[in-house]
Amino acid sequence: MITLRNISKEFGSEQVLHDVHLTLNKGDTLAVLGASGSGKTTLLKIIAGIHREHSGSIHVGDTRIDPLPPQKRGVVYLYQEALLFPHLTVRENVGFGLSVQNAPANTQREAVDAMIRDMGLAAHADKYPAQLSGGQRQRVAFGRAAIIHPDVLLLDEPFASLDFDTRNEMQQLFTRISDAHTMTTLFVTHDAREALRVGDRFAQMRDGMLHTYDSRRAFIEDAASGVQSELDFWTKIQQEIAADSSPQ
Amino acid sequence: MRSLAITVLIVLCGVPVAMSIGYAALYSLGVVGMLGDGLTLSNWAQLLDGEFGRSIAYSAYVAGASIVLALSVALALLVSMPRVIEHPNVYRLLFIPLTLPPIVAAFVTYQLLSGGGLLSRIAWHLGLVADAGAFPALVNDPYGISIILTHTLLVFPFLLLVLVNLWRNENLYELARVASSLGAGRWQIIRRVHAPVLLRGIFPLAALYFVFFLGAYDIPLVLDASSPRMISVLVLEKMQRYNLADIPVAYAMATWYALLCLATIGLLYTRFSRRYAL
Amino acid sequence: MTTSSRRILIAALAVVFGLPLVLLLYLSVSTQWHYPALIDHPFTLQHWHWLLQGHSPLVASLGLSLGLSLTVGAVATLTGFAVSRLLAYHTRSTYWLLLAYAPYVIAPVILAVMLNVYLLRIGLTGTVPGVAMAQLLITIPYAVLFFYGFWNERIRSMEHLVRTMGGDAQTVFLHAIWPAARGLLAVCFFQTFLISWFEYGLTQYIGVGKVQTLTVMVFRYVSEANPYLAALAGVLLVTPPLTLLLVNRHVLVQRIWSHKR
Repeated sequence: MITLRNISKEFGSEQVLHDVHLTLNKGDTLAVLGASGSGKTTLLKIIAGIHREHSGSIHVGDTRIDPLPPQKRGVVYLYQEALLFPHLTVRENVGFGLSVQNAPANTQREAVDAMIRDMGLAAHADKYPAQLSGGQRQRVAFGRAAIIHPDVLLLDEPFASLDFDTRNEMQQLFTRISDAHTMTTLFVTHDAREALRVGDRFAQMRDGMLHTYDSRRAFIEDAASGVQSELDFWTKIQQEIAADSSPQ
Repeated sequence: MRSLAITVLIVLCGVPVAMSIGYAALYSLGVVGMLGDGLTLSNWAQLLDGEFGRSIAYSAYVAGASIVLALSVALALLVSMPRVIEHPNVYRLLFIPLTLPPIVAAFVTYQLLSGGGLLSRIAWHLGLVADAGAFPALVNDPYGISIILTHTLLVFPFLLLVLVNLWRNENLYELARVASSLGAGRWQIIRRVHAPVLLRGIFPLAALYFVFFLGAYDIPLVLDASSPRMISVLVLEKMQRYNLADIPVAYAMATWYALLCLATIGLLYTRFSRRYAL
Repeated sequence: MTTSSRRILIAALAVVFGLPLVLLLYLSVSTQWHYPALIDHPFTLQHWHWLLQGHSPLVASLGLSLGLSLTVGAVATLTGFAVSRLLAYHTRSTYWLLLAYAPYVIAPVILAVMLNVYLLRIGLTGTVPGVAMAQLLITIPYAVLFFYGFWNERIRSMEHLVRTMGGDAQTVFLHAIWPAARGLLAVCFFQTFLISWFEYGLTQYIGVGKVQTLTVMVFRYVSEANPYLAALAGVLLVTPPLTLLLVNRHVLVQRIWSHKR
């Protein structure tokens, strides 16, 4: 469980985050929708420990983590860019977290092999990142994060740079792995459909404030979220296509 | 047009090198030249008597020590304080050694490190030495200390500048954050992320500098010991001595040294040109 | 912590890098440096006067070095620019570049030793054109390697674009190539200028001591155990690159190492 209380952040005279409160239970995936500049990346970086100066507190379970450095928080941050280690193979990248934590060699091997299979990367295990496609790299990055069972996983528009089909595959993969490992996740996106697909809880970042919703319905029906109007748009397109193709 | 491009390149680059090595080889084999009596391997056989081997080994040692020391200094500075190195006031200073010609650098090193040099004078004032003769031999010594130090001074700033660019291009700040979030501590990040990525990126340039140092002339000319000598100095010495019989041996040394350089660069290029931007 | 680390590092680097230049200047205004004095009076400007009044052979050396290096820099840059384009546009494999590395990796003085017989046969040994030709043998391949990566898809697309708009060769050069290339041409010119400016071994061997560039004079004075004039020649040698450093330091280091197009 992760709890954020009164998180605020300024850059110079600009207030980027206003009094953010949030509680997530273990296994929750919170989909956070927000436009560019709304403060969602800043929020993730504060939770990850990249930005250390802010007001408020962050707890994981009963442990307050905001005074701790990034490597001691149990929080893994996944960027939009996969950021794989270019000098390590897929296998070595996936196993990196286990090896720096000095896990026993056979445990590492078994866990890495299982994760590589789960990711559908068995045929690419000995390749280097430069030899992989964008989608494959994101799988490796995801596997590398999931294998160490972080307390919290932060995803910052991880699939934004992928093509349509690959993005769909990754969304399904994420949901499957996240459920299998009961991961607590904040998933930031600017795509309403992606938010609906991956999240089981929903929020929107607007002007530095986090608006949470009690249910999926509330998320869709709130005009300020913009989700309903997007869904209406796609419904209208489908109706037009259906009308065009129906016999007169 | 393709044939023209290749022909031009061959004429400008390949032909001069081929003609040079060709003449040197033929002279050393006794086929041409004022002492040429017909094909003979005696001059090549003389390369096996030890002097050439010692010179190549010594040159390789000096070249290797120079590049290892320069790279170590550059890497150590960068990974321990990357933001300090990137600061404009520090970054600008790194360009100064690029303005020093090797012959001037050698001269300055001599004035600094010789028995009558600045360091010796400071040691005298500190009561560490009684006179110039008591100062340790740092120039014209058999370990090439002053040559290695001069090479290092001239090259580590340039390597550091290249490493800074590599650091940026390879997103090393971000990779460090990723490693940190996966549980890696500071030394683990340096050892398992920074160092391998940087070394991997700078390898071709470091290898090229090794080859350059191998054939260094200006600096060893001033700072070399009388024995062993670096290969370029040895070849020139044999060419310019009064003993005419040394000339074909000098050509033999030059031939094998040149072939060694070409083989090295050929190997580097064919093996690593895809992995690195060579 | 970072600010104090930075100050310490700046001080250390300033001492290590500045000391050679200070020592050169100090010796150039000295006529003696008796052991164990750190600074030996009196200072004198007699060497500089001698130089500025035109009596010193260093004046001729300075003029010769400047003329030689400017010529070699210009010819190497333009030739390398043209040859690299030919190579980049009309060959697919980058293995041909190995040929350009060949003269570049062999020590210039060794290349001079092996090449000298040909220059001797055509009467160029001991002459400025002979030295220039030998220097071009290493600077032209350098320039080819320098510019090879410049001729990438983007430049080709720009050329095609201008042509499809009706531009002739001159228009293509002025509007597609020159705007992108002019900075790099300047950098390559300065770098090939410096290769020639700094060159000693090859110049000494091919020039047979008759072509007395500044680097040759430094070694001559070192051999004559005259460190004061050697230092003066050294100051003259470092002045152009130091000036470049003040004007635009990036010309000293910018290289195109990538040959991927």
